[in-house]
Amino acid sequence: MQPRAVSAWTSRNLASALYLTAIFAFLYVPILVLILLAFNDSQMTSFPFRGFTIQWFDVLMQDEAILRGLYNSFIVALWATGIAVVVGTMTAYALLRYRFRGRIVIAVLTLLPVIVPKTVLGLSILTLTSHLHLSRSLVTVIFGHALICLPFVIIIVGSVLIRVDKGLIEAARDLGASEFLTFRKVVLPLILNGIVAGAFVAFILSFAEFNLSFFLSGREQTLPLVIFSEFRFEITPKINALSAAMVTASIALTVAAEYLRARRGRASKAS
Amino acid sequence: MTAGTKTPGARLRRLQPYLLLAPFLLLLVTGILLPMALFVVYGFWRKAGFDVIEEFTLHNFALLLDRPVYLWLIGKAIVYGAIASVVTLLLAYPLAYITATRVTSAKGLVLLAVLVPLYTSDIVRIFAWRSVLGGNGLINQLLMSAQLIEEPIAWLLFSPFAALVSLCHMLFPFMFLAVWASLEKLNVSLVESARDLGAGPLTVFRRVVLPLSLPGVFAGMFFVFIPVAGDYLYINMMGGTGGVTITKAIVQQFGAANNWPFGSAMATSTMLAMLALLLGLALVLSRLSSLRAFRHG
Repeated sequence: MQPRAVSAWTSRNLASALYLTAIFAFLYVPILVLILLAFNDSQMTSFPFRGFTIQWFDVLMQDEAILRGLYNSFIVALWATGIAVVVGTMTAYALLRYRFRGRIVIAVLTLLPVIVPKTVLGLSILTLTSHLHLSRSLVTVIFGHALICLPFVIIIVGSVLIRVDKGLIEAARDLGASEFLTFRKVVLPLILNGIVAGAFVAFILSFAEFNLSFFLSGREQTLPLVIFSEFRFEITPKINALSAAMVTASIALTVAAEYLRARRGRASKAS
Repeated sequence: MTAGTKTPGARLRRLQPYLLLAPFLLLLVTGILLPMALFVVYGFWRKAGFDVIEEFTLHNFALLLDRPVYLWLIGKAIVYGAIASVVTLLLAYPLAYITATRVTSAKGLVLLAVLVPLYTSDIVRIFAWRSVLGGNGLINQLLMSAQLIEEPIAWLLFSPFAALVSLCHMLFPFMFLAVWASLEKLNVSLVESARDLGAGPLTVFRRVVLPLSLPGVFAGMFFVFIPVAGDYLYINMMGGTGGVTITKAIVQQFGAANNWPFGSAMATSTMLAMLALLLGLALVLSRLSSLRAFRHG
């Protein structure tokens, strides 16, 4: 009985170790391959690895279309993040700080931008703008991006806001601070990290967004659209270099965002 | 907290949440509700020459029923969505279970590790999978150098398979989060008492763990099904030339074919078909689980 139990235990552990390896390989191997190939000294974007080079990043920096796309993506992501963060924080604050009629309905509605398929959302906004004879430009793209970043900001800011000690708010109010002053002097410092984390995530999502931009952009195009239109059927080392840079930046921002969000949690719990 | 309604200050306070929500509601109405309403209405108008005639008609929907190919494409989208949601469920469930029950101090780290791929750009993900699945990609090269195959497996890339693999990669975190959140609330003592009462691991899973995690499973499948069924980018860039989907057909009506009302009718019908399917499924499953709960007391 005993040896059999032990062997059953080890084989179960072996199975879960194998499974975990397979899952994380599935999640990370494609990304690692991409980064590795960006430094491969070969015109072919494939193995074997022929030597280390950073020339593809140089080539990348000389591509006008890509630089233009990069610039547009930055502008769009900054505006979309700004809008999503301000509106999202206000929404999260209203939903968590107040009890009012229609609260649950609105809480559910905040998820709408994630639930509606992006193709449908893009085509719908396209239909409306064309019906009203509005021209498409980066402004329509910013509008769409702000919309789909909103749920993420609301959830992230909300997850920090919900841990803020209600007693602190009550105390400030009792001492005569106005609602706005209470928010600015008490709540805002406590949730600032959450807001920054939400901003990072919104920025990443906007920077990466393709589906909506595809339907909402005019002549000026964001980076993913440039890549789509110019390199849809070919793979060049340049694109690997670009992708490697993008993925590294988004991983760095994600880790930073999560660090900020978690640190705030610990700090407010300690107080 | 409970404000009276008499003083002006209290009235202002009651208005405050709505004032705070105003920008959000404005975005929601102008960005989703209004556009989608107009989008649906377009399906009931018709195209004549270069103009859209703004009169109610069921013409587009009749046309749709007349051409079985579109119904077949809607069916195909549903099948793709179903495959992807089942595959991601099978991949993510064990990890979610392990994270919820075994991982204690490193929980944040596991969540972060699963979430990082979520924030990878779709375009980047597509190029990444191309270099894994391509003719001289990682898998083919490994298999060839191991002499398991003589020439590259062609269907790995530019096939529905490739599109589904990369879509599952994108949506894995959503499934994981949904299932994990439901398992996190699972009471460990329930599992232990079931085991103490002599239930084997399979029975414990089937009778205790799985039923309790079902809401998370449904939520996860929903979050995977919708983007896969409505995918445009992945099937375009990974699916190869044969990968016609309902989304492609719809987008074509807004592009080259330039028949927006017909495209809108197609999209509306697709959404309705999927909504009906999901609601039906949810109804059947909840009926089943309540029936089982009843039978087992």
